[in-house]
Amino acid sequence: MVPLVPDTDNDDTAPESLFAVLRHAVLDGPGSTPSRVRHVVAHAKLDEVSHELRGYVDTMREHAWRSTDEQVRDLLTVGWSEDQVFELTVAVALGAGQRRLDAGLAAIARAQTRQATEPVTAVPAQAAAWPVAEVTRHAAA
Amino acid sequence: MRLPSLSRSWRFSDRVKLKMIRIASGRPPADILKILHYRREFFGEPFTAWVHQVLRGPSEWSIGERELMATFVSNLNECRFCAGSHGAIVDATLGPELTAAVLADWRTAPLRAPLRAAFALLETLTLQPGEVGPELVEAAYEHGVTEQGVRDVVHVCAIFCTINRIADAVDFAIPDDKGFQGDAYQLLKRGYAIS
Repeated sequence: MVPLVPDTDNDDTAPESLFAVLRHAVLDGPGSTPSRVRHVVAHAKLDEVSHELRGYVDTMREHAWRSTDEQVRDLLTVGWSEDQVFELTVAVALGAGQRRLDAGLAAIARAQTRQATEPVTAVPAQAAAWPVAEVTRHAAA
Repeated sequence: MRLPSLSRSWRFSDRVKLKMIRIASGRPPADILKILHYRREFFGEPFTAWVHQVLRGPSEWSIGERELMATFVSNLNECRFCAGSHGAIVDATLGPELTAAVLADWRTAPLRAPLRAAFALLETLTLQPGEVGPELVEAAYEHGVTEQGVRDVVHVCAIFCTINRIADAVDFAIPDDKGFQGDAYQLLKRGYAIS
């Protein structure tokens, strides 16, 4: 796994640092579900997830748009509170986000390694001349 | 919303704030605001600090371009609420024609080359994160995107792969066009941070 805070240990406004703060709050902060359970659902370790949660976690992780009223109602019926379902929902979602963050940062790291070990190819001259992106109407207001 | 108690348990100052939003806008606050203010230390505060930095902080991508990325990822994840919310911001900044063109087919949409390379990365990272290799990053570099620019793209993807799932799991109500436009104006004016 790529370190989440690669070169920005002293910059608490770097996106990697801000994500690390969020991750800590959601997975390790005070909550109505044990931190261990939040970690398990965030990493979608389905073998370790209780039976009644397994379908919900899987739906959330792979195709959340298919989640249903019944899935949430079933969790509440077997004894999870709304607060707990909220925490677990956020933890699963964050895990899906982190999966993309890790994959993207790993790809950047592998590109760096390849650049260091392979002959450098010149960047097209026009690349430096791409126009700065447009200014928004509202942002200027 | 599937977890109705999340609409009732806010700190006093947030209840006042959301009441003011209701009065000013003439409609109930969007469900996303209810979620972000529910136990805000757990999720809303740290999440919006991250979002604000990525979508409004310094970047080689314009605000409109980052919002277009957000719309694209949300559309891939089939999240109607987020695609509509951020699409309305793109409509207001880059124009509705570009939003429609990108959602129809980003490969043929009139995008500058660095942005097109970003969309190639976003598509694979969103749908098949295990398939993302250095080639997509190097392709972006070849079109002039810096390493920080690629990092920004990765963070936009991570943010929306998170919030899209929450929006759909909790079943956020979908505003009408006027509602989306009003929210877009506020998000352009004020940004995302709630603290």
